[in-house]
Amino acid sequence: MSDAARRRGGFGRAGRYVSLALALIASTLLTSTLVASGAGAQDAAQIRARTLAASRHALAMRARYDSARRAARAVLPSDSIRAGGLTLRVDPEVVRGTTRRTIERAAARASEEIRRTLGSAADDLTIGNPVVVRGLPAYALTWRGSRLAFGLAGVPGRASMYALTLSEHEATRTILDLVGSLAASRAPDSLRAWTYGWIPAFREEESRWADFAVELAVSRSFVARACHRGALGQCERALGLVPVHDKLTEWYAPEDWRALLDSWKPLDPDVEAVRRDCVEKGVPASCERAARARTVPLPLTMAARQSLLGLALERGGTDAYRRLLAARGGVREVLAATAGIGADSLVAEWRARVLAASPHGTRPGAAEAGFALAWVVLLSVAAARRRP
Amino acid sequence: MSDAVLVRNLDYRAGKEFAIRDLAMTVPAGSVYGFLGPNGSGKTTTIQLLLGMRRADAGTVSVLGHDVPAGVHKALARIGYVPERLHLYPTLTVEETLRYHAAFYPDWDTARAEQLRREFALRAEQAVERLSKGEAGKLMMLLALAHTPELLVLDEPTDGLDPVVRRDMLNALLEYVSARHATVLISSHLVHEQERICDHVGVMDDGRLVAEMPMHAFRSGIKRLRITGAPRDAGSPPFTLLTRGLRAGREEEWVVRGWQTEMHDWFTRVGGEVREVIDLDLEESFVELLRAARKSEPEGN
Amino acid sequence: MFRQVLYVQWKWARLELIVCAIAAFLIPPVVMNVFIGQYDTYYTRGLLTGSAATGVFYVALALVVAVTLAARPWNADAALNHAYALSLPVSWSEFTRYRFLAGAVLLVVPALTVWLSGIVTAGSITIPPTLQAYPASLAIRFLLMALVLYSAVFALQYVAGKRAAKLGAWVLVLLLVVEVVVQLFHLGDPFVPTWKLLTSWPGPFRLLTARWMLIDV
Repeated sequence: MSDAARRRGGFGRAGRYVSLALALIASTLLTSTLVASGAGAQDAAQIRARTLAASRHALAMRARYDSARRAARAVLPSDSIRAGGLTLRVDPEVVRGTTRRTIERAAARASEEIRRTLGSAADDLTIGNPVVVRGLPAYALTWRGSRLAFGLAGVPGRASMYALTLSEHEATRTILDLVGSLAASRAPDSLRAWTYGWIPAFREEESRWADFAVELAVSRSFVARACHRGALGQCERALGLVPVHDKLTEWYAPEDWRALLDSWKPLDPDVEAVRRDCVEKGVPASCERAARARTVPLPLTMAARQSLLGLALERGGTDAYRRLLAARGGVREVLAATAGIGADSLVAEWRARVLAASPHGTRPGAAEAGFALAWVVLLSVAAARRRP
Repeated sequence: MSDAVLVRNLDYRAGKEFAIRDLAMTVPAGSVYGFLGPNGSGKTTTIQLLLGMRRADAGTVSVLGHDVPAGVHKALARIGYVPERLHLYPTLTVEETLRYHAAFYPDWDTARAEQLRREFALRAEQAVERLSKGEAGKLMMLLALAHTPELLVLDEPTDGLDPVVRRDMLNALLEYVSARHATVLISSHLVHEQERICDHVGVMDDGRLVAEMPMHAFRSGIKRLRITGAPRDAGSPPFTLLTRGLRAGREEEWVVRGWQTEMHDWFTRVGGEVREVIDLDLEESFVELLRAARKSEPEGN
Repeated sequence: MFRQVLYVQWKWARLELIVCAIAAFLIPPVVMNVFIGQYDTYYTRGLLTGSAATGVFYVALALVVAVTLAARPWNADAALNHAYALSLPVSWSEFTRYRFLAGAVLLVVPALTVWLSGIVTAGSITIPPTLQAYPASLAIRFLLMALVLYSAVFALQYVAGKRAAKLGAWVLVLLLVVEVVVQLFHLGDPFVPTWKLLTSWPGPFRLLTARWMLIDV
């Protein structure tokens, strides 16, 4: 660099270091991409031969693994962990040392949370169907290196996989998720169908309530948006508490159909043309025809419904779950019995809770601004202390 | 205040190689002090220590009555400084530089600055990075003079400049000094130039001040003597012997400081004879001083 | 004195500030319109998605202006070995304060641009009744975040001096290498606790993790 450029105070040396960092980032990303894509020059015939051999080997392994898994499922792991009313059966070969301690702590936390949310009526949930933690065989490892499978004894389908270094939070959450499906298995049919076979065994985090507020505001369904604006009757529709005959017209207005169809992946070829006609030209008849070709989605996500149920359990106190199990009738009646208040009041309370958790928008609060300015002052003072 | 600059027992080390050791220096108020020394002798470092730009490891420094570094900013407001290298922001124009600089000096004389700018033929809208070396030197001199300082500190101000520019700058300097009775500390390795303007001189070599005296004493006090017959151990002469060496035959050459005519008798007493007394000009005196100073340094320094 | 320091720093950074101002005016409406789609502006979800996307841009913009305004004055003085700054009749701490304040004042320029562009962007689209535009709040958040980032870079620069850029580059490289190793070998990320500390109260980068939405509920 010339004297003039140096004196100009350009980013000279600093620029070189930044360029170096950027070059390293770029080259690392490129290298990662190449490694991931398995680039390399190889003979095509060799590749085919190796691939064929690998496939045959993989199929044989898979068959052996499937039969071993079926056999293993019939037998519960020998070791157990108990925490409060919670029972876990764990594979001692894999669940040991740090992993075991993590799962023990998670079980204790989960037990407390279950007792707080569902009360003593949930104490015997895992006696007949304990939470099972098995080790996965080496040939079944996923690329993420998972070694543990969490499931429920006697309840196929629900399983989560983790590495041995799973965190306490992950383990707690998994246990609570599994217990939630057990808790729902005893619930009245109407509620079980409404909540898709799961009851929250924990209190919803504040950030999730904020998500529901956003969901209400941006829903493609007019009933959800009307709920956001204050129409409680529409809130009940949005939450699926009111029977509907025609979901497409009772949950979505004609002006919503276009947004709905635009969000869907391409349909069958004969319907796709109609869908595109709706999306590109906005022809209402085309929109209705295309929309009826598929299942109409719920106005709000299942998580929103489950949060209403969670609120009912919270409102109802320690015996709420017991009353839920004993309740009869439709969803509204079950929820009312659980909460100990009318369904209208429960829904109103749910809406108020959701809107209260609305993100505060972009406006920084006074405390936030104050802390930021305090850091500014602190850093500026630090900067002035050192003389070159 | 009788001394503009007073330094005692100053120590400073920069890295493993270079050090300023036990420096003592006095710049009388109202004098033009020539700070001589070869390149790398520590002149610039000493000046930076005086101005508080570096921090000494030991010793005391007082500039215009203010201790450095404690009161250096009060002193700097009364000092005009021209550094060895251009120290201005290259992307600013001459006018922007003047405005920026003026903001820091309460005694800035805008009319005087404008007058000097025209005298030095500097265009206001020209960027500093586009100035020639001579123009840049003039700009720095302008900035130093325009706030009417009591002390001017000039570090090799004419180094690398053509004779015309050098003359212009020195004339401006002399004019200022005679009008304001300011003190000037000017460092240079161009000895002949210092001879014209300085009335005090300090000679720096390898981090030490090897000599400090009025200019007339420097100019006239160092002589080269041609001697014969002087014994090897001549005792304590009444002058300062700087160097002694053999010439052709049995003749010796002595370089001495503080010589006076009546000192011939001393040679007679010790059995020697003064064949010739040669006056040295400033440059030769400077070289002999340095040679003597380097000879007296212990081995390994 | 401060006015001159401010003028000089403005002169050094005006090109970058103008480019950032133009970007702040051009990019949000373009991005918003990409997400809203070409058919109908009443795509509420698209508005939020578009706002979230432009939020990333605002954070990046705050970082760019902060680094520029913090690094430029230091580099200008360092190129002269700080000879000019140290020879002026002000103490180093006073001089640094002027430098800092000048840069902080200049941050108002991009913040104002963010505000104005937010007004223009929000005015150019139909906002449904369940959403609102927050141009002023966004501009305030931008200014605060830019101030914090600016202060951090300024402090790093003035404390670490010439080593700051090298230090910054090595930190970036270290972050990258660790992240790659963590992902490849499925290890726990060692930087997560540190990141959480910095981005939750009372960490300095709390503002980063908040909502940067021009249009929101």
